[in-house]
Amino acid sequence: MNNYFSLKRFSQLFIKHTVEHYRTYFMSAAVLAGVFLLGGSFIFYMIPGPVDAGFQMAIFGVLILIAGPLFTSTIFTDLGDKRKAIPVLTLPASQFEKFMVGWVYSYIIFMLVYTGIFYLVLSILLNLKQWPGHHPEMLSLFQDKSLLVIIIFSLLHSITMYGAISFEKLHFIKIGFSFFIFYALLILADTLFLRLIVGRKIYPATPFAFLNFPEGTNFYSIGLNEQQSAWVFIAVPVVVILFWIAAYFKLKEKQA
Amino acid sequence: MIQISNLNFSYNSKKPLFKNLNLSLKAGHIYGLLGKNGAGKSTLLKNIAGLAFPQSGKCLINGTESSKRLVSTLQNLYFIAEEVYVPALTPGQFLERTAGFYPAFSITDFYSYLKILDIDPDLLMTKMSYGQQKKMIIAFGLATNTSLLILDEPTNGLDIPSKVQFRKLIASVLNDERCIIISTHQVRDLDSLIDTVLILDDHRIVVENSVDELTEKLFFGVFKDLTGMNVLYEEDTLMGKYAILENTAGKYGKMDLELLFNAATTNSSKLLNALKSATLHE
Repeated sequence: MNNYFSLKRFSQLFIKHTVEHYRTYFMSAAVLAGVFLLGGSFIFYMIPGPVDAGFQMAIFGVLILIAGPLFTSTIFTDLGDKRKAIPVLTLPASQFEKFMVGWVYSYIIFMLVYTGIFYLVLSILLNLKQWPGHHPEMLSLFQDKSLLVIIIFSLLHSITMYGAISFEKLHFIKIGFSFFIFYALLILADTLFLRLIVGRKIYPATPFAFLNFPEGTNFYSIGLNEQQSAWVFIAVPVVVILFWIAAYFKLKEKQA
Repeated sequence: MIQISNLNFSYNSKKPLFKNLNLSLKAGHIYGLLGKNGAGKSTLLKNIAGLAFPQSGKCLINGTESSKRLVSTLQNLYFIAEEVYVPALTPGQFLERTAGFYPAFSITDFYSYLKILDIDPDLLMTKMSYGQQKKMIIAFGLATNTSLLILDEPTNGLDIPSKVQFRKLIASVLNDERCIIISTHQVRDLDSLIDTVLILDDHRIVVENSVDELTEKLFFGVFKDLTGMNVLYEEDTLMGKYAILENTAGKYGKMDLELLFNAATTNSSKLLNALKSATLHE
């Protein structure tokens, strides 16, 4: 018997999870649709002109980066409640299968549902408010900015998933708090490290961002060149994968 | 089946719960794990089931560390927690989605246990009373036919007729391949059900004896006068002295689990020494 992964067992677990949680997920999707509809109506009403694809992309990106971690933080809440954690942890499925069900729901299914609802609401709003002589423009996700959104979403997803397993309650608040504390420490460490390298006073610096410093009355900003910047796009997915792996091991170590 | 060796566990580094605890449990027995509130009964059961990890020492189920939570181990283990959780499904729907994980699950047994415990298979479990939810989980746990069944305070929340049914059911599902561990602080609930008594006190197992062994070595009774008797433990009652004596005459008597529990947890050294020497002789 395979103690690590069996497609049949994974499917059984996926169906069991769906049957036991679909009400909550439907309600979450309905709330998301409500937020889009209300917020979207407000924006469409307030802006004195057609909402262009650039603005739509900004809304799409900002909201997925808020809604995604919010949903991901709830995916393992059962583990924080001993009554629910015991049947989950002792169910005869591997810890990897249990992790994958949470991952598929919070990453793949969330992205699909989010995108579907976004386009549904967007098409409703575009049809409701039309500008004479202007052909309504709809956002296309097949562009470079989408990749950036997916990378940032993946980073937040992996961090949130780790927190969702680690914390017992108030997952979203605790993850957010830890994230900002960690980010502040990262900036501090990065700034001190860069000061050590350049041997001068610099402005606070975030990893992979510009190195800013004043020189007399001048202000200098040093950045990575195009080729070096490409490394950022490799470094972030590596961090994402490492956080997913860490989250899996956190689940393996979870006690009830 | 279960081998615990040199188990050390604590939630707080200053207060260890178990110190070098050793225990060996075999199939074909119903073990009653007794202990005062906070003695660590639930924690010990969780260590056995791989839900809590020892700081040091090992907890093995059929030679495999339970903390690894391998599927092959989990398929042979069902843990009924003190506080149960049920999803918003009927027992029938729950069976459909969960039974497949347990290779030896018996659907016929499940419905028969539900009937015995008077549970409607078509009622949404979230609409059931707490006692009914617990009975439903007990019925499911028994029907999994796992070789290890762990029940943590199973009688909490059950009414008197249900407790009687529960005892009958547990006794009926025991076989040579199955090991059942029941923990409780309501000692009387396990009377005439268990065949081996485990008493947890002061970070260790102080009593680990079969009921036969205990009735052979000890004699329980009410006495007007205990002068000249080899008394291991006594309590005053309205009828006289309720006591545990060393059974040197080989008399047959019924064991009083509550009296034994009181004796063991009040550190009756005489009783513990008598039992220790009995175990050593064997």
